[in-house]
Amino acid sequence: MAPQLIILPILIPAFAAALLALLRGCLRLEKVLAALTALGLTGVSVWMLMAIDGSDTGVVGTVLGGWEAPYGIAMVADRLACIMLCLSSGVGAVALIYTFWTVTETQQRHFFYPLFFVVILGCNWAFLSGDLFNLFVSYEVMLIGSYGMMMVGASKPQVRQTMKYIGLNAVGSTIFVAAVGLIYATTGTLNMADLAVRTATLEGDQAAMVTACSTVLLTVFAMKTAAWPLYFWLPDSYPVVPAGANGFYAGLLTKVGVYSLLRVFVMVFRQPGSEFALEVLLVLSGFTMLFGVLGAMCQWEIRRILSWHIISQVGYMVMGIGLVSIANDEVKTLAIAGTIFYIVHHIVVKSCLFLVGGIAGKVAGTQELKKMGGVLDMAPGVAGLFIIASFSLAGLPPFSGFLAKFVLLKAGLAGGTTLAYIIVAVAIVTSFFTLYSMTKIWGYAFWRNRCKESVSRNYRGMMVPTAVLVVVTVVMGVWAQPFSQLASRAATTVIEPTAYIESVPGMARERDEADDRQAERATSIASKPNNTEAVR
Amino acid sequence: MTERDHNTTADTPADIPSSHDEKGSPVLCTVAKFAATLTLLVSLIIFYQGHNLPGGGFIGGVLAAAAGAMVLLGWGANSWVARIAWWRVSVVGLLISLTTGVVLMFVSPSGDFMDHITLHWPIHLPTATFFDLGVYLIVIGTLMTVFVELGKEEGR
Repeated sequence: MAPQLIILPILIPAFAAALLALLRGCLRLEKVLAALTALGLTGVSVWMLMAIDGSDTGVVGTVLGGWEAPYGIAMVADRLACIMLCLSSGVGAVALIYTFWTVTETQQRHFFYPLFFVVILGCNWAFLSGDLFNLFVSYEVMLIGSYGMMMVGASKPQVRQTMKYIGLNAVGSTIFVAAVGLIYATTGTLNMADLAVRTATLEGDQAAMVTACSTVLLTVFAMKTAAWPLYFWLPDSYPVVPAGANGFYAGLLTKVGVYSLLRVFVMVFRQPGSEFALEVLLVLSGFTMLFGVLGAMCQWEIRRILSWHIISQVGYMVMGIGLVSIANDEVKTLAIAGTIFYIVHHIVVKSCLFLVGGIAGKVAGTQELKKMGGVLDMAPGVAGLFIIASFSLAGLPPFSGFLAKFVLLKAGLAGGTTLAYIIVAVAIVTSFFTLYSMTKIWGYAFWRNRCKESVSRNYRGMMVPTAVLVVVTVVMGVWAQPFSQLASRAATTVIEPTAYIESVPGMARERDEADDRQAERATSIASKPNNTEAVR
Repeated sequence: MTERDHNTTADTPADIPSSHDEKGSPVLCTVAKFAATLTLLVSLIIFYQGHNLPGGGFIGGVLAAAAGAMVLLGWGANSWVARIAWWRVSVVGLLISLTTGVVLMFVSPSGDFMDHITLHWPIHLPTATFFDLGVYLIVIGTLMTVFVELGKEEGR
């Protein structure tokens, strides 16, 4: 495929958002156009994944605006980015079609669908971005869309939670820019490929400086992924998002943070001592899993329970990234492949659970567990979807969750350090708690016979998009080989970034120059033993 | 009596902005006529010179919005300026900018999104101008939406 085409997943939602905004008021036309665009976008993403996975290097890069790297704006699509694009577009399309049954006319007039595409645009941009500053900009685009979507309709709880969400993210963004500035000051570049080249040759004080700056970035990403102890914003804000859209939020937004952690801390920062950030992540992951699931256990509202579970699940993905700190190639590949598989599984299942929760809430008239009951009798199909998705989330075979957890635990045990063993133990305990918490929803909302009359019968259409996600999790569990192999192939590009670096136009030359500088420095240090000043 | 007089004089010339309107004053309107026109002209000049000199779409758009703000101050929230759907201007601006980038994918030698070429006919015109025009419209649209919405009374 032509490298210029990899920005299609960014361009399509951008045009869609603008056109849908102009169509304001044409309710039906807007819905049709939104659904067609979202499905088309999914098609383009899948095509890109197949084309790039089938190519020799597995990476396609381009630089926008006719400038070469490291000055131009780099966009790089490797297998990992393409997998993420498929997820954001696919789950986006599913959630978008689901919202046809939930979004009110007022909400639609408040630019619901244009904002939906702005969020997809931001996510896709973050996945393709090959430059730290661009990553920041894409986060902003995504956040602005998400503020808007959270506020759609502007009811009182929405305004209250959105103000908190905006305030917190404004702080996060400020730290993000500061971190990016620090990294630019120490390394002289923000292009990810260039950074991967330059940080690998650093040593001594400079390497320590970069590690220090990277921990600032770590704080930002930890906040965006809702890792312990920066998760407090999530359980309050997600429940106020309009039903349907919250499935997309729950699945995608925090995972953009996980993706950035994976991209930046595994691939980009390669200086000696870079394991420090990963070790911190490994410790955080244990707390994140445990605190998330403990929070979920004491909640009594479906959306809040599920929101707390997002936090606990993020812990598993962060655990996979943290395991990369163990210097063992086999463990690294296994851990990253496991993380990628987990991200795919989690996005599908978590979105699905939010959508099922929405239907159950519609059938029972409320999402408060203590007031619900009897959904199993009223809507057995919905109960079936829920039980599969929740078993998958808890990690029972034969669903995708089992495999995802299995690979991660295997990587942890293969790691062999005391810390890894402790985290593995925490992960297993968390699984049991997750199962308990899902059983609670099942017992109260579905099984218990309380209300006989369903409040709304108009839910059958909503089950179709939800069922699509359930089918995906079953297929990923039963027919896992193609998915796990794809995850392993994607992991190799992240761990060994040579192909990534060479795919960016202008970077091959840049890297050779860096090698020359390295050689020059080695000779100059050898010839002048007194000169301790690092020569760039 | 005075109350009724006041109302009739204000109502008869419905289309002409009235100096009796609570939000306008004759001095402001007279000054705004000249100042807004001048500001708009300067904004266009600054927009056009932006390719090689300080200026461009963003700052030009801010200046144009300043002219719009003067008109709003002079003639109030009922003037024709306040009734334009300014957000549409922003969206159209966004479309112009994006379309420029896409057209250049087909026209420019490298085929990159947002690459740039220079048109020599009929006037010397770099394609970046079209992108900048989009930015100009986005900025005017956004700022004017803010001004108009903030100027409205609550509940209207």
